[in-house]
Amino acid sequence: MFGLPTVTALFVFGGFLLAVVLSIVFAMRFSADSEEWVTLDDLFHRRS
Amino acid sequence: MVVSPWTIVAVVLYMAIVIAIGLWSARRVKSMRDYLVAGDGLGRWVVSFGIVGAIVSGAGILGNAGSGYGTGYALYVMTMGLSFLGLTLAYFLLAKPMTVLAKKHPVYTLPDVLALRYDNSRSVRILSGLAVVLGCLIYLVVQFVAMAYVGTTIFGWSQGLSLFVGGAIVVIYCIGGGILAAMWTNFFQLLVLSVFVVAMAVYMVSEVGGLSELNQRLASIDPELVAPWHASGAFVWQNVLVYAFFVGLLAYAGVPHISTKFLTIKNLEVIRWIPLISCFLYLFAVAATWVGMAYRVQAEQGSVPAVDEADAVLPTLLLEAFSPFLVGIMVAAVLAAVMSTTDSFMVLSGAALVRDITKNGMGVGLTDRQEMFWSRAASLVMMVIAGFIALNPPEFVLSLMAVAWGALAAMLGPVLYLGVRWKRATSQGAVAALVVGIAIGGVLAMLNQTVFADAPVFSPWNIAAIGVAASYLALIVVSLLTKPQRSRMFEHFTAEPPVRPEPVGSAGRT
Repeated sequence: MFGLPTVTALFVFGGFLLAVVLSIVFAMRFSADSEEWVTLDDLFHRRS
Repeated sequence: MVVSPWTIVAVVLYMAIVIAIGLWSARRVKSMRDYLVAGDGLGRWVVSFGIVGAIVSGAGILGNAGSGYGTGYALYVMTMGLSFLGLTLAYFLLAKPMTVLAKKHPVYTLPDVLALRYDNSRSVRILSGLAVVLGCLIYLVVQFVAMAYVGTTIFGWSQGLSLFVGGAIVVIYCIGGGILAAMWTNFFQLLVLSVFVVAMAVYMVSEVGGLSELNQRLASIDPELVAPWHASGAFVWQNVLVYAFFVGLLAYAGVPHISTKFLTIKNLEVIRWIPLISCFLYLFAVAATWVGMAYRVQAEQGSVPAVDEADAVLPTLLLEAFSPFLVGIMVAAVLAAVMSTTDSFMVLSGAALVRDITKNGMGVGLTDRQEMFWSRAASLVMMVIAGFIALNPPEFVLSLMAVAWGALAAMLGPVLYLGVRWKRATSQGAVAALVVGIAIGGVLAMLNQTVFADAPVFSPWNIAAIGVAASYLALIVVSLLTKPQRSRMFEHFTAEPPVRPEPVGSAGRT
């Protein structure tokens, strides 16, 4: 991409683009109604 | 060196605007809550600009252009390759908890948050306060060195005069207004900086025929310039990947000048679009890297003079290629980057000394007004100390800048990240993590002067990153070995019973 080796391009452009995509997903799914947040303990309990 | 009056006019205009913002902010500061978290009432744009403005320092701007010129993409991959994701992750993990805590408890600093999380532990508070002071002092020294660099190379001033003028302006605009002044001036400063850097990058890259052409020409000069890491030296793959992963991704917002900004957020809805806004602001601000790369290509062609020192790319380019007024605006933009970082560290270091270590750590009784007065005084003292060190900086000061972020991340990142997202973390685990982080990521990394030596495993880059990993490990292991504790941080959760009554004088603010 843009004349860069693949690995360099992955870090330079991929990191930014992935962050943008994740930020958009975050904005769509974010709940401002609850004052609680997910913890690792919740994730472990759900799986067990 | 003769400086054009138009350059002076542009710089003075810029200084007048930031001082006016500072004075306006100072009139709105009535309490420590206003001084340290801007009354937790800021919206998405001011928060985004405030955070990214604090991240992008003057040394960073000069250094990004210099690294693009000297090392190509390797330093970018190392320090920025995963940092967009790291910043985004920090928002995902920390923004909501910190915003909620700021509404429910009187938490104004990072040690306040950690003490709330870890059973009001005095050890956690003092250790984290010391880590903040140590990290802030290093950052202040480096920013002062950058100020002196601009003053001596552009204006031909002496080192002392450059430091005095730059430091005095930061003190004038920020000592009264605290974080409120820092956030609003950062808004203005990052605006100036982004316009400048993006315009410069677009101009310089188009001069060499576009981004693809730039990269191809860089590769023809030296294939390592477009490689993600180098075959030897400081940018070998181990260094690049370890630093990018542990510091850039996993502990990015451990640094207090980012994490405490989450306490200024007005309400939860503000958080929704901040990550996306910040991603683009960050990209604009670091585009100086491509200015340096394009300059390297032009220098190899002989169309611009080569520079002896890579960090001199931006000042040289300014003086060679632009009109005096434009030079003034661009100098103001670089100064903006310096000052927008300096102001945060000045306020945070004073607060850490007075609020976290003296008042809450050692138990010295202070009223709100006394605390604000002494915090300002301590900030001033830290500025003077940093200024004196910068007058005759140690040779490795810029190397310290390279590891300072990693050091702060190692010292404070794990206890914060896991603290808010893992209820099983205990105060003993936090003390262990802080001790390990400070010892390895902080002290050891800073004492090690081999940043550009040939033994990459022992370079401070790696040691800071190893400090992050070791601190996470210490927190997890010691927490699992000690008795579980309930934390007041989670007591508002529906499934969580109250831990204990609030101490007198620390009632919630909702």
